[in-house]
Amino acid sequence: MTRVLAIARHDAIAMAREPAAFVTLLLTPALLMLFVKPLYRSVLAQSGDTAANGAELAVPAMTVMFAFFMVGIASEAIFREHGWRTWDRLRVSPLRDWELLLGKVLPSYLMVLVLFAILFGLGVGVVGFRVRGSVPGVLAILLVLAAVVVSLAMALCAVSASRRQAFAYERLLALVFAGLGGALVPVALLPDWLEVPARLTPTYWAMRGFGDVVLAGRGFPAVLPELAALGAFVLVFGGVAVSRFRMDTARQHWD
Amino acid sequence: MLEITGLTKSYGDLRVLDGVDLTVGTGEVVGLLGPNGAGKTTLVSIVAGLRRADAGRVVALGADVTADPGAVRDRLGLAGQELGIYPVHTVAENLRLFGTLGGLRGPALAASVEDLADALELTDLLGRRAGTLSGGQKRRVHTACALVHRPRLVLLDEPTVGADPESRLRLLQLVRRLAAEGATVLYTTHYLGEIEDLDARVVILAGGTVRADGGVAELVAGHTRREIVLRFDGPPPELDWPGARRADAALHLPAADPATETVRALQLLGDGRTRLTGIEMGRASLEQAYLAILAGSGSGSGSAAADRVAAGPSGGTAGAAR
Repeated sequence: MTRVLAIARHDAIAMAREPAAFVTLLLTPALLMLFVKPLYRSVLAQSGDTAANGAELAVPAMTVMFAFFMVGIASEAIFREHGWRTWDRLRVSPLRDWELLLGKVLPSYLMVLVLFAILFGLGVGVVGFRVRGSVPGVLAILLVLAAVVVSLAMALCAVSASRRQAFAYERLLALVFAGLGGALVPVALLPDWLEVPARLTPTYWAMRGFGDVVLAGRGFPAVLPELAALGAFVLVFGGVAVSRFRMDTARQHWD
Repeated sequence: MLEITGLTKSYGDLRVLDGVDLTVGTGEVVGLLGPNGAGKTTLVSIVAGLRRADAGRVVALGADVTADPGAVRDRLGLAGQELGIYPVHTVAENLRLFGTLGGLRGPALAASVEDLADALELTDLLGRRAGTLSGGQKRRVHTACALVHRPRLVLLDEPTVGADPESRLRLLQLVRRLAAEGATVLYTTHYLGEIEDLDARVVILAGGTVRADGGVAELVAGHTRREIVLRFDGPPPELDWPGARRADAALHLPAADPATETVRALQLLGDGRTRLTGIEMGRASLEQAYLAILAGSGSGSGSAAADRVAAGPSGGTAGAAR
């Protein structure tokens, strides 16, 4: 475990010294929450919830949307090792393959959770976000959602020969997930025929879960189906990662 | 101890290693030489477990690396040809990471970092981010990362590329010390003078096979000949001397014992001595032996290089090589 922690600590230092990408992914949704809050208040009022202030949708929606942009930060942890030509050094060290990958995944997972914590903290403190139902339900969704993000990152690392290629997949998936899954526009306002493809996105299940506990005021058991669905995405993405990831692949960084 | 037997590796139709046999003893430094594309880096990568061999066996420190590439990783240090360091981390952080991964903790780790930093003149740079260092400094950090966990099998693949003479000297001193402490060292380079300085055993790889294997003195004696070079004001005269060669204003005379045979050459010159402007007694080097061996092995680059040697002051001949 010491070796895993050594890699994780080393990666955390790298992330802390190059914070620009993280800061961007933090500031953008933080600002967007404020901008879209009135819009979402109107949407909720039209649906009969006149007591809602819009933050109940704005905060989770922007958080979930930008969570999937964090996939890039997580996959960068793998690709930059190839760019710095340190990947093979790690491979000839006593690190076992799983130790190396776990050491890479841990800081990324924590980084996603930090993003969630700051955005929800700003949501509560600045935007007026309140949870009507189960707070543990909200936390559980965030914990599993972070695992979805990191497992997707590893899956993209497994199927991409270069950071550039992974970046293209990341952007495409992040936008498709946000558009279809209800992070940009509530799914209820989308055409009926999009309901089925929307269910194929993790964003849909995360937003549905937040709807249950944040807006509908339900308890923790109400989000178990959504947690199971998100868990299934972790298994699928993790399965792709485990089955396709090759330690000896000569991956390219940006150049 | 490193024992390589019948090592074979191909990339598509290109056979890079073709039945290589090589042994490096405990406490021994072996200089692995060869032209670009000879398979040196591939061989090192297989020994390190980064690549799989098509055939053959590598036994390192008593473990079969071909069967279990991870068997000796806790005792293996590899400094690859390309720089591999973390630019956003400090030199100390780079060293501590690889020391920790190699099993060192606490005071042992701190002592090893301090010792290596001192040996490679990195002490004043420990707090600097590696990305801000000069090329030679980065190269030293790169090498130190491979050695910080005190490996028993050391693989250094062109470790002095881009290094200044002082850095090179420091590194060679460290390599000698590692061997004296019992490490098995495989060292590839294109700077043959380093191998002479290390007084390492030399293995020359070309065309995927070992072309020569022996000590520096042995290879030089077996694959070069010494010569006397007489320089003249104007075209050199004809001389009845076995193997004599005229080139521009110089006369090249093969000589087993140049000091003694110079007297005989001057006697044979007769009146030609009046135009004599200089006398050189060429000292054969490993480079000349290396080029002669490559020329004898039919390596393209070796043949071209051998032509250059033949035009030099102490031209080697294409000797019989393995």
